[in-house]
Amino acid sequence: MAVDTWEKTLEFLVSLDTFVQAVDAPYDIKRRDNGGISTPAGGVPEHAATEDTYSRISEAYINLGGFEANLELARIKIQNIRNQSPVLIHHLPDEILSAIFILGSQDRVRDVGFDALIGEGAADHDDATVHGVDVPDVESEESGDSNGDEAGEESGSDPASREVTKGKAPPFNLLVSQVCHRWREVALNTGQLWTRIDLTKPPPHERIKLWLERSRNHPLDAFYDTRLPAMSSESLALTLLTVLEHFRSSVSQCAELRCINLTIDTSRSFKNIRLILLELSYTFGCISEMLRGVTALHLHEFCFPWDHPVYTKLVEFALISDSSDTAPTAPQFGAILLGCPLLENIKLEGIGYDFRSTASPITMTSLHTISVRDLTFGSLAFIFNTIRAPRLRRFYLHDMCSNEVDYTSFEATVSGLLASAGRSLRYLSVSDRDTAILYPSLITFLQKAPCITSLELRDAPEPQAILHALTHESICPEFQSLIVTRCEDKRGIAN
Amino acid sequence: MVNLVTSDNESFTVEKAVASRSVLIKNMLEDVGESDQPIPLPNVTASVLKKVLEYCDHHKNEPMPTSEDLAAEDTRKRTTDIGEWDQKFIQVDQEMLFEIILAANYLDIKPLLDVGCKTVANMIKGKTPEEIRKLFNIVNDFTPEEEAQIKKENEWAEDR
Repeated sequence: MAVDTWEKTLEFLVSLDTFVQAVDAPYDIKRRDNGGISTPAGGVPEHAATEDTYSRISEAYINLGGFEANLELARIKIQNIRNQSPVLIHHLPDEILSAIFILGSQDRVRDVGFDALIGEGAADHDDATVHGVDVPDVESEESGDSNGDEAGEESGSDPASREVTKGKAPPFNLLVSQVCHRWREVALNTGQLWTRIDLTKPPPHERIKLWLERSRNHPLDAFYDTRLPAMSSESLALTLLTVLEHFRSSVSQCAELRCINLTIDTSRSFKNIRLILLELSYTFGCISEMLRGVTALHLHEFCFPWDHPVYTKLVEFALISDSSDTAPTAPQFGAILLGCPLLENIKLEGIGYDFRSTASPITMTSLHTISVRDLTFGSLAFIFNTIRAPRLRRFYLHDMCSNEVDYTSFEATVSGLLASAGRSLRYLSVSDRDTAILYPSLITFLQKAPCITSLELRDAPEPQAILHALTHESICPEFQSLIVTRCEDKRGIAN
Repeated sequence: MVNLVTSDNESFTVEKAVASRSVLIKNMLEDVGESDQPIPLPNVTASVLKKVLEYCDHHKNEPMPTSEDLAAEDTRKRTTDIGEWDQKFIQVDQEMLFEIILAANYLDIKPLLDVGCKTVANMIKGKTPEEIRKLFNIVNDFTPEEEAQIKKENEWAEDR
């Protein structure tokens, strides 16, 4: 045992104590300064410091230096031994420690994932929650939960803890890499910890470069949200250009495609940012090239290069558009659906298509969630006549624009989509702020989806009649829960 | 029923549905077929197996995660949310917590491994490195070079 050996070593050090005690009184500098030097009885007289003695003292002094160095090495070795055996958490193998780190860091991504974008709480989305939840403040998300108060008195002994005492905790990936040598090794070898990149961070970009390197070939989570930092448009534009250059360089060095999950929100951005993005998209093909392996696209008011590559790996697609110049055209939309066979989630908001737009029906076998909000009837008709989703499980139909609604066609269009889902649809959420949906249409929708177990209604017509149809006419025999909010007869009923 | 024998030679007789929550045991049972032979678990002590079986018994009627589920978990973001019962179940001392994680890993019980790992992740979150060291009795053994690099990384993290 290394510890036993160390204890034996300590036995020899007893003589060091003896030496210190023996020569303590006569050669104590403090005493000499206070009361002069006296020659102790039996001690070494001052005049005895001959050349030979000086030489031996020098040698002893050098030995002492070596001893000190060895002592430091022993300290490190004992620390290592302590970290390896008695520390319970060190019993966990590297792969489990790595999994723990990934779980801890991914938790922060939860709120920005697609589920948050179109989750059950979607009916409660108002502008405030959209801006608070949909797109993350990467920095604050990464900053952890702790603050200076939590740090405690002992937390200032290392650089990471000092950051916390100043009121800013390190991000989770940095946190776990600053605990001990082994944790750092594991953290640095866990590429998933280093995949979140904020494209709005100003120079210097050492951190971004380091993150790109450490993330290896794992899919990157890139965020470009111009709402978050308080920066001028010029700074944002310059920052974006520089960061994208790092990206391009990193991506081109990868042997395989670098899959990137991209969240872009330029809804409140300045005009020149959008121009730069547009220019980058088309001229350099930079974003397009990076995105060849993209699995999640969350775009808000972004002029995307819709025509360039086919995003064959796309799983999540959220598109929020307030103006027609940023949305794909009807043929482009059809091409996206055709080119993305793995698409599981679609969220569309505010997109305006002419109701005369047509495309051939496309069967999306992976699609399980559709969320639409603030669509014109023309858009709705085009989208729902195009998509066929035999495995659709969750459907959110929110706040359709009431202008130019042809109720018969609307009912037929939505019914067509629900009929294609058949018995797979389990959850339906309807909100109708502009009273664009008639009560009989809702009943028809439920009849087309007989396996629905949960229904959420907000601002919907005649909830009592719908409840009656569900309970007495048994149109959905497996029905379990109903949530009614802000309807004409407010009530909440569950199970 | 299935007979399991721990490293400290204690026997546990449990329902097949409970034991089969462990992919390792399930595969062993499939390999040997119908047999009264006890299954040795040399890496698990009796006290730990008792806890593990408590978990398996509680979850015995739930569908086993398919390979499709596991693949989907890899591509999507998981959270550190833990169910209410699981939270109470995993309220154990550190030694038992790590033993459960190791046993779940050995026995290939993915949901239990997840609960254990999430618990440790939650213990880490919101703490400073020093607090983490104190919690797990870890010594700061960074080299001066590593300390310097950490300082730099923190400075970069401050950049805005």
